[in-house]
Amino acid sequence: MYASFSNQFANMSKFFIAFIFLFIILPSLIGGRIDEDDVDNLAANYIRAVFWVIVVGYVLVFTKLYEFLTMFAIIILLLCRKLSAETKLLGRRSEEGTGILILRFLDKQVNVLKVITLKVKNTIFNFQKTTALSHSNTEKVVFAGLTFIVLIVSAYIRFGDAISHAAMPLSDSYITLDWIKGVERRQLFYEPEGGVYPRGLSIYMATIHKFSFMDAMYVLKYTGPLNGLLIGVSILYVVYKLVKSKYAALAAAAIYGIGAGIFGSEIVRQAATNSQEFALVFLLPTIYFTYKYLKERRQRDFLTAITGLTVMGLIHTFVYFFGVIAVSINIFILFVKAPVKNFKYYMKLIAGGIFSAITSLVPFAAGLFEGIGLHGSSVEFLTDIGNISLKKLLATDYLALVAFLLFGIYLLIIAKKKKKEAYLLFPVFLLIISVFIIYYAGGYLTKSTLLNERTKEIWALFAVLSIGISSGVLMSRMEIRTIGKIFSMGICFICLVLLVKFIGVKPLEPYKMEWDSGVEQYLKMVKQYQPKSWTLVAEEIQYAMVTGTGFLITTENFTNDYSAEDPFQDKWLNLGENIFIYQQKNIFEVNKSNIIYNIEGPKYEKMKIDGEAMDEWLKLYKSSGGSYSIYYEDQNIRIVYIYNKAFEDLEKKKLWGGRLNVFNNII
Amino acid sequence: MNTKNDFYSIVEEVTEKRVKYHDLYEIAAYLESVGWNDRRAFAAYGFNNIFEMAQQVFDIVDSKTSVSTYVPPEKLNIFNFIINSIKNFFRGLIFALPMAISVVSMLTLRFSLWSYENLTTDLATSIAVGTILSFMTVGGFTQAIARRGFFYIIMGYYNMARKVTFSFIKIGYVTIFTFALLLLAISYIFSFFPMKMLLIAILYYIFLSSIWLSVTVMYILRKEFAFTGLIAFGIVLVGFLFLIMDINIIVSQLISLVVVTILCLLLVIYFFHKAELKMEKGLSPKMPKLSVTFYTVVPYFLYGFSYFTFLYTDRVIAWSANDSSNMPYIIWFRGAYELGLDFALFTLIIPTGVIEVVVYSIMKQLELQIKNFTLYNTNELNNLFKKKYTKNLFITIVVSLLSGVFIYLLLLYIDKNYSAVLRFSIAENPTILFVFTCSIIAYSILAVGLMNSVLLFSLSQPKIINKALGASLAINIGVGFIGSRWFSWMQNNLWNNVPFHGIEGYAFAICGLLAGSIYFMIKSTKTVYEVFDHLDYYLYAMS
Repeated sequence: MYASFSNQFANMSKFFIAFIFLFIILPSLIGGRIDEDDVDNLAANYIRAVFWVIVVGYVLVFTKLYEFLTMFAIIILLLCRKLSAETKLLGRRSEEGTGILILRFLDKQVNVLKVITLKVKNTIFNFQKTTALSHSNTEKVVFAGLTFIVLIVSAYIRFGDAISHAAMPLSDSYITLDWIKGVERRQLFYEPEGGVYPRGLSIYMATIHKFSFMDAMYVLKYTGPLNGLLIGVSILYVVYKLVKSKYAALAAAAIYGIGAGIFGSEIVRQAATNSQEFALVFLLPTIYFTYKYLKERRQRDFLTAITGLTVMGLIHTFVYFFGVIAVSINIFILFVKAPVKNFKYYMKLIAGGIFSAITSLVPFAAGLFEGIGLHGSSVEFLTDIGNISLKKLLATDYLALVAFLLFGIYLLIIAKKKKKEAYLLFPVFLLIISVFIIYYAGGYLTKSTLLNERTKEIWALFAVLSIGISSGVLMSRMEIRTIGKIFSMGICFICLVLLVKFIGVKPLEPYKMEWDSGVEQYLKMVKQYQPKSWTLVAEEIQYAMVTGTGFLITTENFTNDYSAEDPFQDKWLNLGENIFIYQQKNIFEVNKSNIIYNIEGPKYEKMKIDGEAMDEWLKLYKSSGGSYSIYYEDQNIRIVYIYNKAFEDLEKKKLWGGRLNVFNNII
Repeated sequence: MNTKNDFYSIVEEVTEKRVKYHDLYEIAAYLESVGWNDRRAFAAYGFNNIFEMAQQVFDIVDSKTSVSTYVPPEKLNIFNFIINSIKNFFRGLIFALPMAISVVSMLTLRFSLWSYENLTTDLATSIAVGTILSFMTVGGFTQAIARRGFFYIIMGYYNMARKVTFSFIKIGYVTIFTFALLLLAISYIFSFFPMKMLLIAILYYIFLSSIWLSVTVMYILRKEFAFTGLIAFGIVLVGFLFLIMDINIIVSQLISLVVVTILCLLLVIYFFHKAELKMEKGLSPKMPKLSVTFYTVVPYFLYGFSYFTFLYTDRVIAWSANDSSNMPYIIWFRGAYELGLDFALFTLIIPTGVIEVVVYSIMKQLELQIKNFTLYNTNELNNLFKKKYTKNLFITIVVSLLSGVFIYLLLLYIDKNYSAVLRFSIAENPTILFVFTCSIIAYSILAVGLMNSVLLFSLSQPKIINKALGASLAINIGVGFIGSRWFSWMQNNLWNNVPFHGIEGYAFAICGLLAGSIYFMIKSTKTVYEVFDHLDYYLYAMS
């Protein structure tokens, strides 16, 4: 069963092992330590790893070399290069040291068991020491506990649907899954549904899929919720780094994790997988690394900031636009403050920005060069103009604005005494107001539906950032003393309780496009039958799910092109060895209030007609002596199984590619 | 005053330094250099001065040494040389005997010890994966066993040869089982293969690896026929179980593999026991430290691993090319590719025999000729052997090419006139023909590289050949990978009626084997010439 603990545990384990391997372990092995701060190091490594995965993915797909073996070979080469560089750095001694160690081991001068036991003992001892320290410090334990609760609750809200429902969320999932499989087919862009659009997320997920060896659908279903969770983590991380108040940061992360929807954003999108949400993971860290670069003026932070910006460009152009605004504000401030003294720094940021723009545009150019147009529905959304008025502000928007004002007041207060801090936080202040203006009046001024609809998610993020920073500047002063810490802890706890009480903790429920049982049966087929040995006769919507593991033929094409009276002719070789006919007793329909019904509604009538034709086909097939069995049946669907007899005796030909007639004559 | 024995210890010390002294003054000078003077000579032995003592030492040393006149090195006995060459040639050919039996079995019975014509593709994939892994894992161990085992056997220390051989076999088994468990664990988590397929692959992997390990021991003990007999017995057993007892072919083969493995190991123990009985009694030197053995065999181990990886890497690349919509797993057996390579493998049979002869000839002449040269005419020695090498290189090239042409024409002739024997058309299937042609060229070229390898091994220079082989392997992987992927894509997307039409894209993995072989031949030949440029040095280093 899809929702069973064992199934979810097995698939989640594969997903997270691949994720941790690709984006945490490998970057630290290959890239080494970038930053002395552990969390900054982790974040920078993740940003860089995603950048390289996407860039390498683009290059490999473009050169038709995208596959597990190529990526594995690249990893091995990079690890060897790193090892050789480190050996060179340490000189001959390290080589000799390793060699001598092996020789001593062979001569039983080194007891490996003892060495390992000692290491394990030391690790346990160190762990106990750390834990003992934490026990003595209740505040740290409470913070860790609260953070754990916030993360678990945020994850539950986002992952709940992916764990309990087999059907994919929202209509976007089908396109996204098809694009993942397009990348795996080494096809970046294709007509009609695969038009030019940044494929960063598709490459990212395809790469996780390659290293997790699970069904791509699981990767799709887990990635979106993980992205949502990572946005929350980015708030916790960035707010803390900017204002050094961990309880304010945690409260902000809790607000976003539990109640991002209260800012009018479509938080339900975080239970699905979309490029915009994935790009949002990098927005705040990019802002933070730009801030850090200006603060410490170190190359590594500049590189991470520009990498983050480029990653956004490679994933989602709209979010990239906000990243560009963030970097531009910093450039502007640098220029205004000291045009000559800061020349080198703002010019570097300009050059980095240009680099990110060019890198982000290369895939577009490649797609257009291939003669493929931009992705249809995205272009439609991008160019859609409507009669849009100023946004109606919600109570929570006002709350965010109040917080923003407090932030402004704080900047004014510290402007003289802590000039540098004020100067560094000022771009963040300007950025929040810019985002608010775009959110509030962007749609009205430009009449752009895109700007009006999609800014909600961006504003939700910045509204929480604004609340986090303003409360943080106050709480960070309090957290210096124990009593202040307790007070901050209390505020954070109350915030958490209020969120849980008034918003509630329940999984997000995105709408679906098909029956759960249909998808469950697909996953059963994948387990039971050899990949690419079966064909599903179903509606077009299931194409994305089936392609790559089996084949799909629409009910209409099957009933029209394959004779029920004279089956298993040579033409049937175009189908798989095992044929599954998917019949809907009750057509799955999306809610009529859903905007997607306008597109899907007309299809339902056709589905009914196709279903009836299928019934007729089966009757005729049976009366002509054909046999089939019922693979699965419930109140909504029925799946019929037919063994494709055209495949009998074909196995030998497939194996040796030889002259079948000669072969048969001999036998 | 010191004793007579003490005085003789001084004589021994003096002779240790140099065997023959020109006169007493040379000895006096030496004695003074180590602290003797008139007073000490008198105090210790009653000599009046150091010269008297030197005279005494000189008399003893002089009476102990004898001078013999220069004897020219024995001349090459042409008759013995020819006999040995023929023996070596056939010894090289014997290598191919088990392969020949398997091929005949496949052509007549349609099965052999580890293959069957009517397998499903998934089973064929499992067996192919198991076989390739077995060669790659055991390749290094076979080279190490051959090197160290031969070393002791040539000296007559069969007990030491047994000890070192079984040590390697033990490490080999640990490696095999560790790798098998690792593979199972990874597959359990990531399921890149269905468990059934993987289990079959692992079973074949373990048993075939065991057999290869035993074969190597039989080879160093010069019991090649025993192994050939065992293979034949295994095939008969498969036939009995499969055809008469009606047991599933996979089960039949696995049972036979187990039986052959056990028999192999028992025979190896028996052969060693027999050899040790013949050994001179009381010879039981201490085994060198494991670290010393390890240090000396590492280059040979690497060579074995790289060589088998080089031979099989193109198959893995071809079978992993996802060029069609019917690629269910990460690796999927493609019979056309395997057939092309299998038929082409016959090309190596004759050159293998010739290589044995060529290397024997060069090394034998080197052994005899070296005594004719002094420190002052090493260049002549180097040039002489460069010429000899060139001549033998030419012979190897010609034989390899002729062998390639012969096998090509022979197989096509059989294909045309006796297609029923092959049951698969080489000429009618563009993929098989393409792989067959390219691999014949590749194997012909590779044979020259192999000759260079064996020659450099004989000169104890495995490290430099490993460099050439390592680079060739990289070229093999790079060219084969890009070739198979790009041609697959081009054929699916760009080409329809072009020269390569009809050849499956994955088959271009063979270009890797070809390119790698060409590089290996050129680089190894260049390396041998470089070695012969300083042959005197390498001979010194070898000793």
